[in-house]
Amino acid sequence: MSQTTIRALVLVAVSAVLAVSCGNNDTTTTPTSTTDTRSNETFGATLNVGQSQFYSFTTLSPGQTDVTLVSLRPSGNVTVALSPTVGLGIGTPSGTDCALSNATNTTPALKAQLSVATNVSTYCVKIADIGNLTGAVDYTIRVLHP
Amino acid sequence: MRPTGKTVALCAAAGLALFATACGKNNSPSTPTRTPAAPSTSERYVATMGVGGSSFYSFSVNQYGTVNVTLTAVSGVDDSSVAIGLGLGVPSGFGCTPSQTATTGAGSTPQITNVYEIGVYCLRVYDVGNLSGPLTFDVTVAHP
Repeated sequence: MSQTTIRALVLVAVSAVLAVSCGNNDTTTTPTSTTDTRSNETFGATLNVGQSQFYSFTTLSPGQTDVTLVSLRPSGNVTVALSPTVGLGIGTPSGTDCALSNATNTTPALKAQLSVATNVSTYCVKIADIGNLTGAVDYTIRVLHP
Repeated sequence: MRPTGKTVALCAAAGLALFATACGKNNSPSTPTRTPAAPSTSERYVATMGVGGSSFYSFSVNQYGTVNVTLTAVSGVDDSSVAIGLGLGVPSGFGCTPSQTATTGAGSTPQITNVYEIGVYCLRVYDVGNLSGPLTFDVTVAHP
């Protein structure tokens, strides 16, 4: 084999290697930010001493539902924050009430006090005076659900 | 070798047979029809409603089927034939959002009947403006 031929072969081989290595796509993955696509329902009302109330909502897909008792204030007062322990639960509307499947006694917070797995159905959130209210309170509850 | 008339005829027949079979097939998928289940359980809701008042009662339908609502009796009023509002719907927020309503007096046959999927539903009873005092109603919800 002549030197010219050898040189040509080497050139072809080098070109092939270069083509393969340059052809590699070293893509770096761009991190995608996760967005919570759940529905946010915020509601409130006045709860009297010894009373309970419930609020119904419908979930559109299986997933996690978070319930947060955000605040309690003396009825009609928007500046004073209270922190008595009240009952907070999630369940299914049944008869004239909300039949609870999960419940806790809790004070207001910014983080969900209840997180439960839910299917496609109608659910209810219930708040109740468990004996710690001394007067009517205005409450705010946030429900984050599929 | 040229094919004989017999061979040509046989091939044509075979082709026609294949064609007929292919065209005869009905490839359209058939939609299965569902038969709604008859009510298998009854729930009774008795309560007192004030002037301009309303209340609701939730129940669960466990099988695709027929739901019947019957206002069987009212009491506490002078006119027992007074018409009040009945509604069937889904619990929502602090109440019940009816998708079907009726204004009716008490009777022995269902005043509202419809077919529902599995789910949670509610019956709403309300004053349509005919009450002059509190009224006690007796409603039966029959469902699968």
